[in-house]
Amino acid sequence: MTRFTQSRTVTRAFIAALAFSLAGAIVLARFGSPPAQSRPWIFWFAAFWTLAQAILIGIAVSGFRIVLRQRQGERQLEGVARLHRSILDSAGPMMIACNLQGHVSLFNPAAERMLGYRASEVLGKRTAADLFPESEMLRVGEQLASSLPAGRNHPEIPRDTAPALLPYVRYVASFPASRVRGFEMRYLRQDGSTFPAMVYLSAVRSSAGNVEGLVSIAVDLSATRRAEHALRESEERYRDLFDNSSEMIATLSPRGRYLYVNPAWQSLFGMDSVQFESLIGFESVFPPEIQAEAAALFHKALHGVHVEQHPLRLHNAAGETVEVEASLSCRREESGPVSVRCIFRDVTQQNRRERRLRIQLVVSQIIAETTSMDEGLSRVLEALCENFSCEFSALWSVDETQHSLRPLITWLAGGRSSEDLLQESRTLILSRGEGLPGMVWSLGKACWIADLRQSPAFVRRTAARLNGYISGWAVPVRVGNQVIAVVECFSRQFVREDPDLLATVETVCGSLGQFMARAGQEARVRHLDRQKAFILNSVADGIIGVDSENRIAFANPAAARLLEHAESNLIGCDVHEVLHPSPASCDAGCPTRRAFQTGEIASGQDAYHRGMGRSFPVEFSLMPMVEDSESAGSVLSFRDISQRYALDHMKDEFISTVSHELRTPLTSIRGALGLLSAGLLGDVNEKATSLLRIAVANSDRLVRLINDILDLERMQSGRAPLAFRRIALEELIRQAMDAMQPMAEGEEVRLFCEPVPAHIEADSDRLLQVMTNLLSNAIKFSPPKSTVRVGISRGNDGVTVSVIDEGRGVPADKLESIFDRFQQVDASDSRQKGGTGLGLAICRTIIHQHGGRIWAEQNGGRGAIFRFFLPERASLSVLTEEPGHFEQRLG
Amino acid sequence: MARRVLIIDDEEDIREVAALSLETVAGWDVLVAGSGAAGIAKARESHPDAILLDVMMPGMDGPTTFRELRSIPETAGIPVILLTAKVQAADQKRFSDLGVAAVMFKPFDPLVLAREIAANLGWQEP
Repeated sequence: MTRFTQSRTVTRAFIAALAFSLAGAIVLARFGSPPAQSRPWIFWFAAFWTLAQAILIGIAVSGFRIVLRQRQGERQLEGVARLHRSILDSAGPMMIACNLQGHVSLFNPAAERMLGYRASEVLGKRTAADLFPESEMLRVGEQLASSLPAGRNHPEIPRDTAPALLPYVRYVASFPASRVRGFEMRYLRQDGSTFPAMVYLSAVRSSAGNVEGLVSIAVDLSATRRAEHALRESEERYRDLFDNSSEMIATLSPRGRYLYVNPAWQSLFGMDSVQFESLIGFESVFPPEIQAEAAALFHKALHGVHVEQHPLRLHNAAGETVEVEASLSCRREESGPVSVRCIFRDVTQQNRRERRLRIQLVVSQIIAETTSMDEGLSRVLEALCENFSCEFSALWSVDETQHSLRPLITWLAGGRSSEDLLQESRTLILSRGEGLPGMVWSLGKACWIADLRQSPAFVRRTAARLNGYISGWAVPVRVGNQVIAVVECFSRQFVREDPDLLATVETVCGSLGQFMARAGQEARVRHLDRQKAFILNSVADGIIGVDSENRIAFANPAAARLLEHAESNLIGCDVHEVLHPSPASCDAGCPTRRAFQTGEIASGQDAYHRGMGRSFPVEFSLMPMVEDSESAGSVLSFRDISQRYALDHMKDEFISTVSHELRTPLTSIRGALGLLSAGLLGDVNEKATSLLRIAVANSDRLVRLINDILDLERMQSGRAPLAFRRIALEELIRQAMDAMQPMAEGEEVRLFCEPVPAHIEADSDRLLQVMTNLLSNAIKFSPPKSTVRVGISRGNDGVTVSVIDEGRGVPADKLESIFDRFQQVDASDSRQKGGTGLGLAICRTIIHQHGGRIWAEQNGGRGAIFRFFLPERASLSVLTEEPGHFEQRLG
Repeated sequence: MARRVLIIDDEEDIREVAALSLETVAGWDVLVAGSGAAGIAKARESHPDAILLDVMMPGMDGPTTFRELRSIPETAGIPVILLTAKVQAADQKRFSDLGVAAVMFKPFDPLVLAREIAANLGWQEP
C-alpha cells in the first residue's frame, strides 16, 4: 500500500468516526434529556457511544499520526523531487529520457538550451531519433554494438522497443551502470546545426529490473573541441615555429641530457635528434676549445642565472666558423630545475657586417687622425688583428726599383712569443711571387693559407710552427691599379678561407693605400718643410714673410738677429714700421716702401733700423706671393752689407786714388806730347812728329783704358745704378749714329738704319754707350766703302737691335768669348784699332742690367752681326737710393 | 788784353805743362802756385781773372783752398775751376756742390785747355 492510499484510508476512517460521533451526539441530545431513565438504552447507547468515541479518538489520533508521518514523507519526497528538478534544471549537461519506443519523457533546460527546443515541444511529441542527425543513431549504434563483448548473453529486451534504440538498450543493459562508458555523438539542433557531445547513457529500469527506458546525459563538446583544436593548433604552431626557426633551440634536462633539439640545432652540429639524446652533456657537442666555456654557461643557467646573448665561436658541420649568441635559462618548478632552455642565434653574418663596418670605421678614424705613417700603419695592423682574431701582422712595402718586397712595419699581440716569426719577417726581402706577400704582389689579389705549417709556398713556415701559427692571409694594398704594399695577418687558430673577411680587408686596404700615398706625400712635404726651415734658419740673410696687409707673418732667426728683435716680437708688426720705425728713418723715396707698394719683384739697397737704434745698410729683394691671382703677401730678404759697404768704400777710395795717381803723370805726359806734336814749341822733324803722334794716341788709349776699367768695375759692383725710363729706341739709335758719323766718315764707312718705332724701359745713357760701342767696333772693323746697318725688330715681349757690318767677321769659336774682358778676335786689335778690350764686356754688363742679352753671329762669312735683346719692361727693377742720400741716412 | 790765370797744383810737371799750354795756345799770363796756401797768397797779391785749382793736394786740398778763397774778400769774386784727376760721379757731384765755376778733368788736351776754360767762364774764345 502506498503512503498516499494509507493517508486516504485514515482520512475516510476519521470522517466515518466523526460522523458516528456526530450521530451519537444528536441521539444523545434528542434522547438523553430527562427522563433519560425512561429510556435505559440510552445509557447503554451513551456508554457504547462513549466507548466508541474513545475508540474513535484513539483511532483518530493514530490516524493523524499516520497522516502526519505520511505528510512528512510526502514533504521529503517533494524535497527530493524539487532537488531532482533543480538538478535537472540547473545541470549543465543535457538530460533527456525516453521510453523504449523512443518518446521523449524528460528534457531538461540544458537540453532546451543546447538543442533549441522547448520541453513542451518535445515531451511526448518527439522521439529520440528527432534529436540526432540522420544516420547518426545508426552509426553510433553500430559502434556500440561492435563494442559489446562477444559471447555474452544479452538480457531480454522488450519486443516493443524501437529498432533504432535496440543497440543502445542492449549496450546499457549489458553493463552495470558503473561500467557504461561515455561515447561521442552529434546532436541536431532545432535550427538544423549539429554539435558533438559526450553522451553517458543509462537505463530506466522497472522495479523488476527490466529496462523501461533510457536516460542520456550529454555534455556539449563544442567548446572542448575548440579548446582541443586550439591547443593542437598552438602546439602545431610552436612545433612549426621551433622546427622552422633559424635560431637553434635545444631543451636539456638538468643533468645535461638533450631532450629536444630543433632542426636548426641539428643542422648546426650535423647530428640528428637520436644522436643528441645519446650525448651525456651539454658541452660534449662543442669543439674542444670551447667545451669548458659551454659547460660553464650551462652550469650558470642551471643555477638560475639568465645567460643572455653570450658570444660563442664554433664550427658547423661543414667546418665553417659560426658565431652565435647563446641564451640559456632554466625552467624551474617547486621541486627544483626541470629543464634548461638553450637558444643560439647565428650572428655570423651580422658580426661580419658589423666587423666590416667597425674595421672600416676604425681604419678611417686612424687614417683621419694620424699624421705619422708608421704610427697609423701600426694602428691599422692592430685593428685588423683585433677584428679578425689574429696575433701577428705585417705590412710589406713594394720597392719597384729593387723589384722586392721589404717589411715596413709589424704588429704582434701580447702573450705568447712570436719572436721567431717576427725576426724572420723583419729580415726577409722577398721577390715577386715569393712567399705569401710575394704571391699576393704577383697575383694582385688576396691569398689565404689555411695551414701555414703544411704550405710549401709559405717561406716562414718553420718560424710559424715554432710560434704556434696555423692560418694566415694576405691582401694587396693598391693605389689605382698598382700594388704598393701587402698586408698579412696570422692566427694561431685554424681558420678556413673566409672570402667575406678578405673582401672586408680589401676594402680597408683601399683606404690604407690612400693613406700611405697621402702619408708619403706628407712625409715629403715635411721633409721639404724641415729642409726649408733648416735653410731659413741657417741662412745669414734675413727673411721676413708678410701678409697681404704687410704685417710680419714669419721672420727667420737671421732677420731677428739683424734687426735686433726677438722673432716673436716681430710677428704681427707692420713690416715698414719695424724697418724704418721713425719718420726720420725714411722719406717718400724709401725704396723698401716703394717695393712693397709696387707689388712686383724688386730689389735694391736701403738702410734698416736695428732695435738698438742704429741703422745698417742692406741689400734687399722683395718677392710677391700670388695665389689664385690675388696677393697673398710677399717675402722680403735682406742682407747686411755693412762690411761689403765698407769694403766697397775702401775699394772706391783705392780706385779713385789709383785713377788719380795714374791720371796725374798721364796729364803731364799727354800735355807735353800734345804741345810738342802741335809744333807750338818749335819745329819738329817728320820722324819725331810721327813718334809724338804715336805717343799722343797711346796716351789717349791709356786714358780710355783707365776710364773703361773704372766704368766696368762700377757697373759690375752695382754701384752705378740704372735710371730706367721709357724711351724711344729708334731715337736713341739715331743719336748714337750721329755721334759716330764723324768716325764713320773718317773710315769711309756708311751708316744705315731703317727706323722702326719701338719703346722700351731703359737707362738711355747706358744704352747709348752700348750702341756707340757696337757702332764703333763695326766701323773700326769695316773695310772702306762698306755699310754698317742697324736693324730694329719688335717681338712680343721686347725688341732686338742688330748691328751688321761687312768686315772680317768673328770666328765661330770666339762668338762667346769676345764679350769677356780683354778678349779680342786678334790680340793685336787693341794695339791696331785703339780699343781697350773692355767695350763688349761693358756692353754685356749694361744689357744684363736691363734684363736682356747680347750675342754675336756670323754674317754669312761676310762680316759680323751683334745683336742685343731688351725686354719691353725691365724684369727686375732695381731700386736704390742716391748714394749720398743712402750714406747720409746710414749716419 | 791778355787774361791772367792762376794755376794752383802741387805737381810741378802739371803746373808747367798747363802754364805752357795757356801761354802758348791762348797767350794768357799764367801765375803758378805749388800749394793751397801759396795759391791764396798769390791770388790776394795778384788778383788773377781765374784760378785753375787742383783737388788732391797735401796740406790744404782743393775744396779747402776754394772755401778759403771765398772767405777772403779780395779773392771771393775770382772764378775758380777745379782741375782734377778724380772723375768719379760721386766726386763730381761733391765738387759741383762746392759752388765752383766748373770742374775739368785731367788729363787734358793742352791744345784745347784754354778754349774749354774760356767756354766755362763765358770768355771770348782765345
